[in-house]
Amino acid sequence: MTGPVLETERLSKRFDGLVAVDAVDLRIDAGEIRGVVGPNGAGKTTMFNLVSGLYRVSGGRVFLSGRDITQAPPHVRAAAGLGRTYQTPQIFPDLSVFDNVAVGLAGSRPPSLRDALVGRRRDWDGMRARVEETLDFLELSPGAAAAAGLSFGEQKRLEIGRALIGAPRVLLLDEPAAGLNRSEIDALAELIRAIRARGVTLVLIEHNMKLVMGLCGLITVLDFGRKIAEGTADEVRRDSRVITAYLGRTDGARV
Amino acid sequence: MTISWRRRFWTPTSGVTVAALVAVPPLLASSPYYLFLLNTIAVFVMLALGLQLVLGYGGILQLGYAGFFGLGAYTSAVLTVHHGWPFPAAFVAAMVVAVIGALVMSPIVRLHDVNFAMATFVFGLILELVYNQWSAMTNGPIGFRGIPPPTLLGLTVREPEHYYYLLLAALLAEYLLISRLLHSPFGTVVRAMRENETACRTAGVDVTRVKVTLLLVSSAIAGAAGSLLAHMNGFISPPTFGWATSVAVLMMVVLGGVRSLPGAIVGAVVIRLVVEQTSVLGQYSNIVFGVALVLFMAFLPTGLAGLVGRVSARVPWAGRLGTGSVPS
Repeated sequence: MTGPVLETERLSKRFDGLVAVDAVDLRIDAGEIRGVVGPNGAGKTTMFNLVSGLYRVSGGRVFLSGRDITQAPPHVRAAAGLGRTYQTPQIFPDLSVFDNVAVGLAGSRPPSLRDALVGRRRDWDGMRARVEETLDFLELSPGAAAAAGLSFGEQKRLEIGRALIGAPRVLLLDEPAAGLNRSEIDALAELIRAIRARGVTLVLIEHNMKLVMGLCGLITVLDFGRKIAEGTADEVRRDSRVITAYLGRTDGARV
Repeated sequence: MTISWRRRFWTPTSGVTVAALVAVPPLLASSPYYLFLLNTIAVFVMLALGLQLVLGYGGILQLGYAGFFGLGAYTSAVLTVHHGWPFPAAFVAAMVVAVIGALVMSPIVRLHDVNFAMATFVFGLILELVYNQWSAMTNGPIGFRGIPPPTLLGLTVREPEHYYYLLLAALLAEYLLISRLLHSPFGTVVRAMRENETACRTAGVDVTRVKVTLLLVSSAIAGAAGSLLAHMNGFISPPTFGWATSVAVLMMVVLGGVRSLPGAIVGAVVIRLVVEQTSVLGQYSNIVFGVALVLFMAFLPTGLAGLVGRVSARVPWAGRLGTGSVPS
């Protein structure tokens, strides 16, 4: 793989007077597990919304494997290999676990009327197998029950499954560990490594520093919409601007 | 919870239901009034199923549905009477014109929620205006007379009990089409879209395309129903295709139960019977409808099908009566 798999160039988003994301340059190479951290309101989720196409950019550009996707609608980006999850799981509560994941096939195989009416059974069997394989990978059982009945942790895995079945190049995870207990977080770390082993590049927004430090080779720190630091866990931890952002100014105060 | 992706339609239940429907007209043969009522109900069941697809399953607030019903009816009437088209061709043209009408309306799918609903409502009003004002084509408020009974394979379907079978065949075809659609990968996406549009978009679903497809399919159904109504009655006039009918069909879906095909059928039957019985109320029937709609939304949002589902959950032998209709 040559060149970054996901790149942003002076990515910006303004809401009226507020600059939520301010000229952020990001360069994520294939095979990375990138951490994005920063205090609440730093613009992390806004950045994900810009990258996945839910928001229109106020400035800057987004590239996926070198292709400019700045103006592409979300479903086109998904089909091009960009998957994402949300801070609070956005599942389809009344649909079965199977159906929830099956929706993620839409990017690689757009659902059509023609397929519904005269589609070949063999194709559906192939799709069914992919859903079952994905559920298996995530240790979810396909049962016919509504997804609303799943535990919070299972709902988060379900969401990952829906993104993963689209065979993304890049998977954006928005606070995957939030609301999980310690053993679930350990399992999540394993899952993230297993996803990378499938050739998927990951970007995670996360407040759990232990998880981020353990998983991510490089960490990007945002504060007030700006990228204030980027580097390995050790570099970032020692960066004075990062310390200031998290703990306040150090002059006169002991930290 | 219905399990997705299957092609099976014939079950003991559906077999018995169809057999029963086939057997009905001879029982009513002595009463032309009841046959007429039955046929009218059949047309409205077609409409209710079509709206159930787009509004119930797709969550798309199509409030101008009767306008497309009218497109089918007037297209079929004009083509057979003024241009001498045979019924089958006019029937197909009715569906095509209704689809074209929906294509013209389709850019509004980019609007959201209330704005979209308002736009569809206004689109329906515009169509009603056209039926009233374009006298050269529709004969305006006086109504369009002399629409011939359909001729199929050399046979003219004149008697109501024969017409019933024509309607039943159309209805069965529609039911099969919709149920096949819902139990396909496309159907999965339709049901997902209603629950979380944003999640659908970032999961790779072209939401606009799915919505437009649903609008087109449901309009084709309305067009077919309109054509069948026109040739059944021989006479059509604008109020049948106005906002009051759109509201009535909406009532059928809500009363029967959103996201339930049997619910839409039951809703259509009940509402049509109520309309027949409350015609004494005249203009006040709309008030009755309005109040009933609000009450249902407030106290029984899952409709009669939801009620059946809840009851059958407690009564073991009632088993599968309400399958697929109760959101948890």
